[in-house]
Amino acid sequence: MDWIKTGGSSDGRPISRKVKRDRWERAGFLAVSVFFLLYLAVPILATVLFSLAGKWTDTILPQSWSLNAYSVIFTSDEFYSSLFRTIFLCVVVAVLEVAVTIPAVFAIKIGSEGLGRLIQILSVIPIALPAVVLALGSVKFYGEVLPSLLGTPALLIGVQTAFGLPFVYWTILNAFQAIDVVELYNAARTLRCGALEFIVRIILPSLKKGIVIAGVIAFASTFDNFALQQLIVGASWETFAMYQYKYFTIDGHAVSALSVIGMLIIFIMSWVAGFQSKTKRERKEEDAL
Amino acid sequence: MNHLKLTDIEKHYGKVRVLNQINLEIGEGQMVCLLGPSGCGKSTLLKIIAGLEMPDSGGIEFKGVNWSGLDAKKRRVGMVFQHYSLFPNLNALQNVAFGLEMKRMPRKQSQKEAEEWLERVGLQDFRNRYPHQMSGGQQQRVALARALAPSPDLLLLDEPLSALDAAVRLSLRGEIRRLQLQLGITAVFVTHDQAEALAIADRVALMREGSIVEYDDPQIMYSNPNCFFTSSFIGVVSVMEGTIASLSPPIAKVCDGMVALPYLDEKKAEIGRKIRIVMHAEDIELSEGFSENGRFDPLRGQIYNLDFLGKTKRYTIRSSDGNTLFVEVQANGHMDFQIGQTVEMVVRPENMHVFDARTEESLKSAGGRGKNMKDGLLNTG
Repeated sequence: MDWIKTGGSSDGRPISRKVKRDRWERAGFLAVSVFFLLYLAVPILATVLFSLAGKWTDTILPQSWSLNAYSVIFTSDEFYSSLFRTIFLCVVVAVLEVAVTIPAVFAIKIGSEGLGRLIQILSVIPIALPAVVLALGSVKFYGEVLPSLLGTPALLIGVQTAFGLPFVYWTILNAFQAIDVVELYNAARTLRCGALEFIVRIILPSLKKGIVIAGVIAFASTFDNFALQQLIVGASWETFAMYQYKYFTIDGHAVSALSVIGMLIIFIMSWVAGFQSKTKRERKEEDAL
Repeated sequence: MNHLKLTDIEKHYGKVRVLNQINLEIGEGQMVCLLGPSGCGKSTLLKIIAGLEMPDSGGIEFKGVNWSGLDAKKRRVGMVFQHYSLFPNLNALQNVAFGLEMKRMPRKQSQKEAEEWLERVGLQDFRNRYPHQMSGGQQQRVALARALAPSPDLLLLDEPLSALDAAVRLSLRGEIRRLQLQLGITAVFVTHDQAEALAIADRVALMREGSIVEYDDPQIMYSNPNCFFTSSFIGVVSVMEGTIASLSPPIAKVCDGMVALPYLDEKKAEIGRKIRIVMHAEDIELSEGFSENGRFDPLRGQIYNLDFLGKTKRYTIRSSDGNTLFVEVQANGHMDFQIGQTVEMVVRPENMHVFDARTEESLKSAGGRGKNMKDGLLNTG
């Protein structure tokens, strides 16, 4: 790393104090970035290694390798059932959250400032409450008001949607900053366009990226929300998170393998969603590069 | 026949009254400018005409039809916004066709008409470009085409040129006027730029703090304003405070001197009345020498700033009695004064506008000319 050495430069000319300071600053930023990258990557790497490990006791890397954990999972019917249930749950929750949030944010932007302030306050509640408290509270409430919902996927979808709304709300609220909704809607109104048509023809295409990000966040936050799923539906509607939980006391390698599978699903979903959210023009430009 | 009629329009935002008893009538095919400083309510008034906001009280009629309570979607208006407001996900052609599609026009026909409109505004080669791929001037042309394509009855423009640079502003201004005259469409144009208003309007409604203070032909407003606000807002002006010393001939006492005035309306003016004298910068003449003419000595001052404006030069002069005066001369004229130079100022009485200092109304007689106008000198005796 001789570019950060102090003293003379490689051609013998003295280096100015400012240049030295810049070099130290760059080194500092690089060190922080590397540390952060390692902080994120090492646990993931360790999980991947453990899922592929045969025997691993007191060495840095596994002493032997094995695909046994994956073999057990991929040959299990329960795995596929729980995965499909979870994907169904995540997609429905994501669609519901986005479908509810977009008109709400639109309404706030075009005139309901008071409503916006109220939603901002309410949106903190699901974040502030532990998932366990939310789940138990929902079970108690619906147990009295609508007991037929207890233990059903419908209740889980409802509670999960409420739980994830703040994340989706803030993401979509940020996305709306990219356009001047009020002026665009005013322009649309003078062209005889109603609110619903405006949302469908202008808002959704204009904010595609932000909406997709919100959807991915909703999907990801639902995927492994074990507490809500366990407390609301339990074993009667086993989800991926609950299937994984079963292996905690049986096989740690399988738990790691399931974590890796879960991460891959979310990565693939994010990649597909990101690709779909690009416009044709952006894809052409990337192809050209 | 009055095409658009506003009656006693009032609007409040909370406790703040932004429009106060607005009454306005616009004839068919006219271009009317709502002119005024920022915050005077002109954009709010335009939005009320468009139906984007509703007044708290008052009525709007268009071609005899009551528009009160009618939403923008139901009024046949086309609107151009300050920041273009083009739909970012649609290209130029799609933006222009949008209003036609909202009228449920068949797609092929709407595309064809949109292409014709793009050609009219000189952007036929830009049909596939998106707003972020176009300059401000190009975007505003597309916005204009989009507003006009559905054949609205009324064209509303909310400071459409404010966000553009000077050269583009000039050409687009002309284009807007050309299209408006060609189509014969009634238009309301909001601006804070007096030059724009004077250049393109058939009539100007000058607004101040939510009220219309004057509504007239721009030439008349410039040469014969009814109130002090109009006089001081339109054009580059110098203002002197004084007191009427004599009505026949009309003379005012200003600071430590006397000045000849135009003939005053003797029903409104009286000796001792405090007045404000307003002079346009191009009406004050400069000379180097000292001269005496009649009972008046010239007003002297020192140049302390010079602005080169291309065709003209503007001098800022501090007079001997402490007033700041602005004088504009032709840049290629024979006069060439320097900063720090002492000069003598001359203005003909008929080029002065005299207002009551308290009520701000004009005191100038309707047809009078200053008796000693040939003296044409300012001040100090």
